[in-house]
Amino acid sequence: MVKGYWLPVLHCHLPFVKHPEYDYFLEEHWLFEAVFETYLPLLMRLKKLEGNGVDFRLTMSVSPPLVEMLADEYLTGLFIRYMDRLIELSQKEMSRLKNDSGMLKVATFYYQRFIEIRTFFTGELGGSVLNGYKHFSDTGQLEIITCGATHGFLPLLRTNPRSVEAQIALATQCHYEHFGKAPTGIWLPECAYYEGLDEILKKYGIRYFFLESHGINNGVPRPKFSVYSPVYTLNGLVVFARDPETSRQVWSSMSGYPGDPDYRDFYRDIGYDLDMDYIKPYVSPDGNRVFTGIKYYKITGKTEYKLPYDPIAAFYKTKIHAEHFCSSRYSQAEALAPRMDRPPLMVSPYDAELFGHWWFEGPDFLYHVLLKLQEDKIIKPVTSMEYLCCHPDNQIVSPSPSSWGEDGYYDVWLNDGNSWIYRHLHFMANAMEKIADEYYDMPDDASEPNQLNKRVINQMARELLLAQSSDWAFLITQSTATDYSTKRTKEHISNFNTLLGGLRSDMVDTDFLKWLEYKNSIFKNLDFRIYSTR
Amino acid sequence: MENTLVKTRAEEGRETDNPREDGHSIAFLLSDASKYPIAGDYEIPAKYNTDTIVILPVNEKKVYVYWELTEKLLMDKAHNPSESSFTVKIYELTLGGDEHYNEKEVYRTSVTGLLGQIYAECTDKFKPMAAAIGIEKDGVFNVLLKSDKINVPSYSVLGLKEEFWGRGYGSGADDAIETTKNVWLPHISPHISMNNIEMLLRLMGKKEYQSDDERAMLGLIKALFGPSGSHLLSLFLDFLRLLGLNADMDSIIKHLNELKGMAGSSGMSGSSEIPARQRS
Repeated sequence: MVKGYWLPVLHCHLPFVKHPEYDYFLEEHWLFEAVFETYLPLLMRLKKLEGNGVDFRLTMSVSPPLVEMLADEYLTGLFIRYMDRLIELSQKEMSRLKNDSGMLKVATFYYQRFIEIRTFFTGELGGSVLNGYKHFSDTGQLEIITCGATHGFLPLLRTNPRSVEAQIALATQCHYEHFGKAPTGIWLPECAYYEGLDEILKKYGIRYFFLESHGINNGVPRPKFSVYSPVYTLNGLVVFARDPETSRQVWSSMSGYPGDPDYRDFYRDIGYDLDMDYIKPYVSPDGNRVFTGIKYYKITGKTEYKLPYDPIAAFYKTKIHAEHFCSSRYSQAEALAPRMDRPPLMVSPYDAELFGHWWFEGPDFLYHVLLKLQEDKIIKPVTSMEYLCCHPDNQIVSPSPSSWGEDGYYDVWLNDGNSWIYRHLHFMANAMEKIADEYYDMPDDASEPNQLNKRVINQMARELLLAQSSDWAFLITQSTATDYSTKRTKEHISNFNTLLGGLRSDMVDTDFLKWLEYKNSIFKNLDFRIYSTR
Repeated sequence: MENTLVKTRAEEGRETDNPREDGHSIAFLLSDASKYPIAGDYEIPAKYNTDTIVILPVNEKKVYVYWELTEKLLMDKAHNPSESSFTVKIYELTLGGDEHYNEKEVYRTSVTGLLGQIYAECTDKFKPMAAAIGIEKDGVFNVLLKSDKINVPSYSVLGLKEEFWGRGYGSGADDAIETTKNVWLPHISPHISMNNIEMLLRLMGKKEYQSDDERAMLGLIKALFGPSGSHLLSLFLDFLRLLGLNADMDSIIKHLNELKGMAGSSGMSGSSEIPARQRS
């Protein structure tokens, strides 16, 4: 008999970064690293599970900016070039280490792995990660949900309700365009919730979303089963909340699995370790060292002296940790059972990039967990909708405003460092709404002025959406990539106002517009009327 | 009974200690070496010449307010256009009669400049609030601009402590919820705050439609709550529908009878709290 349910959720998101004006752009590598080290290895493990006849369940939120980048031909071309350079580097490494039997093993491991990933991407996936997601979505084993259109921090955008609606409307539209179906669930950007947001989500057919534990536990009335059963909002949407215990087991740097001495050390990368003359072609052309993804050491312990990485030992450690994780879930379910009238549901949301990029062995861990759960049949992995079919009766709770950022509320996205952003975002949203109302009835004919105005207003919407990305405010708070985040925010504010000025004065710089349409090309089919109040 | 499963944010504290657990995927991909290679800078407007005051919640205890005032506004309001000293006030809102809010000043500070921002400590977590900026002269606060309201809750204002269960939307209860929403939810949408049961009852009085079942239960409700029963009936029925219980009228009637018994023995007539019920 099933003693409980497990709902694993991986949130996949990156901000829209595309710089065709540069041959090499450091921040574009966020995407390449995430695809190469996380998204593809995860899909490869899912294929392995499928091959082994494991009927797994996994939920993934794939944010619209990420979807748009994964579908972008220009970025895909760069990604293939990125893989080829890594393969070339790994070949050079085998040659460099040919007399070092200990390290040669690891170098050969990387070479083979890189070839395998590239073959999987260009062969099985036909050059698109989205094809992999679609495949498992069609088998029903992977539930793909959406996110805010550009990951806007919705509680701080609500001064203009249309801009919140546009984030949701475009997200569902983008999801439909790329996955062929409307999303039933959403990962709220930064899990940020405010009172009344559920009403907007419902309007766009969203049935469920996820919150941090305190979003539910601080709700009214307090939930009888805490986070171990979903609740309904006043508008009838389902809210799933994070189980803190499963998070701690994976996340904690002190007691979490990724800190095990056998696992690969994240920081010891040859991009930093080797002579600049040798590594220069594989790091930033301006001479800045970067992570290459080739790392030869294991964590070893709290010491500067690191031992060589052993991929086989690490693989078997993931099996041990997976068994521990599953057995902890069985004990957890048993402990919760006396206080519940149904088997408990344990919701485990993680950033996808934890698995593979940060915790190199993470995809193997997940593979072993899903395999073990299938073997033991004590805890059943489920998707949200599957769980609701089994347990449709749930408590009604009004969730508390919350987020999954530090301290649990909005501070990370609104503080001394980034508060300057919001007056601009609010002005732009109000201006966008006004323009959308004004031009709502503009005929869709082919006349040049109409076509030009339409393109200008649509691009204004894109610039607004890109400026709204919560990533910029987050990075400013983190004091990492601050310059980039500040400039990106200012770039979109500036672009928006330049376009607005051109529209108002009938003096549109068409070259500028064309460039923006190519560079900030998110949401090709966007229609500015989503901002209209009509 | 106290729910032993529930831990609030304050109780559980920060349960994880990974420095990368800061709520963002991109934290995994950042490199300290990251540098932005674009040399150019972007000009953004210093101001928009639009009269604005906006209040935003930061956390349970803090709000953020920014404003922009134009000289034209000062002139329109018969003030010196070069005036640069203002007062920002923050109000906690409670709903009074006639859909008007009662404002209780919870914070004030003197500010300078047509453009500015402040953070204000507000002790009550996520209470409905609004901000205003104005000029204080001879003890009189002349309001120049008022913000929209924030933190306007819906369900929580009913002060409910009891459990309600339902099936949500899209699971067979859609019609009930849609009806409920069409009939009365517009009146108490999150944009129109409710903070007491009397206000809800008054709004419910606007509802004209009552089914036979509803009328049948009116007697029970009247017995339970006296003259305001018809209003409360509407509220209660709509609420039950919202919970997806409309298909189970028998159990509702049974439950109301139980409540009646409880009210008779505990003297709770006139109470604004919805009494406890047992989950079947």
